[in-house]
Amino acid sequence: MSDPEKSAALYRNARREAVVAMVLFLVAMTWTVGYCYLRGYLHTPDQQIHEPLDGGPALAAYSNPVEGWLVRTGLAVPRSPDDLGIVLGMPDWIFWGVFVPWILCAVFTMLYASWGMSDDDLGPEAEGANDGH
Amino acid sequence: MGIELSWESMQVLLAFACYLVGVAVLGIVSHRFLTKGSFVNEYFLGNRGLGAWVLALTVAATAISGGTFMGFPSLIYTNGWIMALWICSYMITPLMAMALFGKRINQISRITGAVTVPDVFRDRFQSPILGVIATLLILLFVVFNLVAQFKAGGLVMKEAMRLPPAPATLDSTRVDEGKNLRLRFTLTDGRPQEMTTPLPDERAVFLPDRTVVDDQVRQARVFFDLDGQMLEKTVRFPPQQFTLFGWSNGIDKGYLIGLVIFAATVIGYTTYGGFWAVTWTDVLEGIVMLIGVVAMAFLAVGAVPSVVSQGETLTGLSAATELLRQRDPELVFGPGPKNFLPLGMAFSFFLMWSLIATGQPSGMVRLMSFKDTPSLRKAILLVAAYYVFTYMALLVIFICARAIFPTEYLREIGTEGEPDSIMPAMTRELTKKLQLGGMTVGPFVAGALMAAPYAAIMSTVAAFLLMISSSLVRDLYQRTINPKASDRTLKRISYATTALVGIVVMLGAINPPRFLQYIIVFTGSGQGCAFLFPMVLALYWKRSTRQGVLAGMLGGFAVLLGMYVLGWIDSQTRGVENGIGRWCQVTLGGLPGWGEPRLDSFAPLYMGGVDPLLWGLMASLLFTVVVSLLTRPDPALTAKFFPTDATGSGYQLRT
Repeated sequence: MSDPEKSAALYRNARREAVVAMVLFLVAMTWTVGYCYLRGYLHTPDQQIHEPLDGGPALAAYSNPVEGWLVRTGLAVPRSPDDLGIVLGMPDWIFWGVFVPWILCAVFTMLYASWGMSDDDLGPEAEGANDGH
Repeated sequence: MGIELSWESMQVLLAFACYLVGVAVLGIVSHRFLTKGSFVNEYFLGNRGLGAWVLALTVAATAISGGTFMGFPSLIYTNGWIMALWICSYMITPLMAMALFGKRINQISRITGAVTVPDVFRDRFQSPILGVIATLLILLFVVFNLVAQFKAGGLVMKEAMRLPPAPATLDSTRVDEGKNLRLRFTLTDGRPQEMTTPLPDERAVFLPDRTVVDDQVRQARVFFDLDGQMLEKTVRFPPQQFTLFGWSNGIDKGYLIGLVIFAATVIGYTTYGGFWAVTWTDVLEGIVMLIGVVAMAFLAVGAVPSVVSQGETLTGLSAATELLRQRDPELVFGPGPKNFLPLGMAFSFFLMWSLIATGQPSGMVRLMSFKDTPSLRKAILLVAAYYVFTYMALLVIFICARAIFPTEYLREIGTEGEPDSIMPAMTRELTKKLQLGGMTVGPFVAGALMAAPYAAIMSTVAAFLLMISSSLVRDLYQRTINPKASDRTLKRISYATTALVGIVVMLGAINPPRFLQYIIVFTGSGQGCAFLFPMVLALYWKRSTRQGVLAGMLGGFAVLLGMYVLGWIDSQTRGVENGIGRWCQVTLGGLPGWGEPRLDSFAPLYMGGVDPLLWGLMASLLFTVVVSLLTRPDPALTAKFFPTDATGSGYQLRT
């Protein structure tokens, strides 16, 4: 049987590292999907933009109410074919929404694997591992 | 009838042969390792001796499969930059797949001597039934997935050989109601054969008079008009066919030869060398893939024609992006052509790639085999770097490919069985001008590059093959049927099982089912739904019980299966006026996602606009937690797997 102290330490460390992985997962997902959707989508209306009768601003009709709300509140910025910026050969929104977070994630992963994660004793192999016990 | 091969194909095959010899040598060397230590542990797990580099490359090579090099490139080519968002959860995959429970699963499998993933479940809860159910689920998923991978392997080999099409004469051309162009040929033996290719655009108009038939290379060039712009597609003559044992419809000869070569090599080295052969060839394959795609990315960037935009001359990747924007803005903005990736699907795919990789038993078993934690940490670092290079390179290559070939290789939707040919086509294009000492070495380099997808498929297949035979030998035979089996018996049974499974799968792949693409996604998602949360909770939650884990496995799987079944019912009963059809439509019509337009009848129900995977995962989490809370864990097992240290605070949540 392995040393219970070391065994317990591994469990604690592994659990902490699992929490870090999950937090980073949520952050990465929110950033990439959120940024790309709000800044990189065309948000083409389902119907032609029409002028309201009272002379207010033109309205675009979306069959998806969430998309319509995001566009109306200005959270989502519809793109048009002519306003494409190119950064390092990529469309600007891919650069900020995918490339940058990917690099940051990779750098964080490398730093964390090098210095953040602990070294633990995995314990000896059980006796009779080859039996059908 | 002999096999006609061009000089170019010979060079490609030579490069392939060099690679295969390397693989064979590794298989033989690793066989020598099998003589020490206990056979089962050594053959299926390598005696928990994986170091950092081997662990890293084997994890990466197992995750990167045929789809990465065959399906993914053609999706980039078809949909443009949105694919960067589609694939980007690989940014987090190294941490999720390895740091989430790597240490803990390794520790627990050492405590019990577990060799396979069902072993871990069985020992953690001392429940043979749990082990058997996990085994059966793995078998179900992996066998189907293997058929698909074998098919991909056969297709790559076929592309490498590139047998010339059969000699034939073109009789007629017509456009059918499904927007497909149908070309009718007559083979030299008088049999008619039809080739189908979709129109390059829904609005494109076929120009029958301009068709050019080239009997020399046996292909027809067909032209279309789209708003005054001339588009071109190339249609090859029908493939050479091979009639086997009087089967009515012939089998593509190139595919059959490719499949047999693929199967022979991969079954051979897996059977002979076991785990070590698989991991060592993974290392070789991992390196081949990385060098291949990075080299191609550089060649691709150099091959893009420069373009002038707003008085600026753009070159390389910028030029490619600008060209895509000019041709079709949907290629450079979300959600991509034909609403490819709406918000719900963007979320789904982020979850899919990171969580499927984490929940796959073939990945878990590698985490059970590393030798110490410094190896694990270094491997995580290496995998993170590896994914950055491979996926960025693939994106760059095939964005450039779209700029270089505007429409020629658009994915042939609906013609299942057609190879996704942009990868081989791009390799040939990029290497054709390479010279070395006055000799054209392009095809040889192309062969070396095309070995990359082949390597990817091989490593996935080898890992799965070994997992199936370990399931059969270890989980069913040794632990359930004959616990007292001797090492010698186990050895013979292991070899026989590995080889037999391989052969059965190969036979299945000779005439693979049409809806293979959905099977791949289904089996991948299925493994995630059945194993991810049950495993995480079994490892970290001392309150989890065997009933809970069992419920989570089966519940997650059932919900996922349900979505696919519902999707199928929806497609089958649409427009059906008889009793059952109407009843289904009326009763189920209220489900969210019901009645949405679907690509074909095997597409699942996308409830709430997200992939079934998400619902399956949620069900599996919910079932595991709720059923565990309703039942009681065994205190002896909790004490065994959740050790307390001197302060008694080992497993207690510190508040």
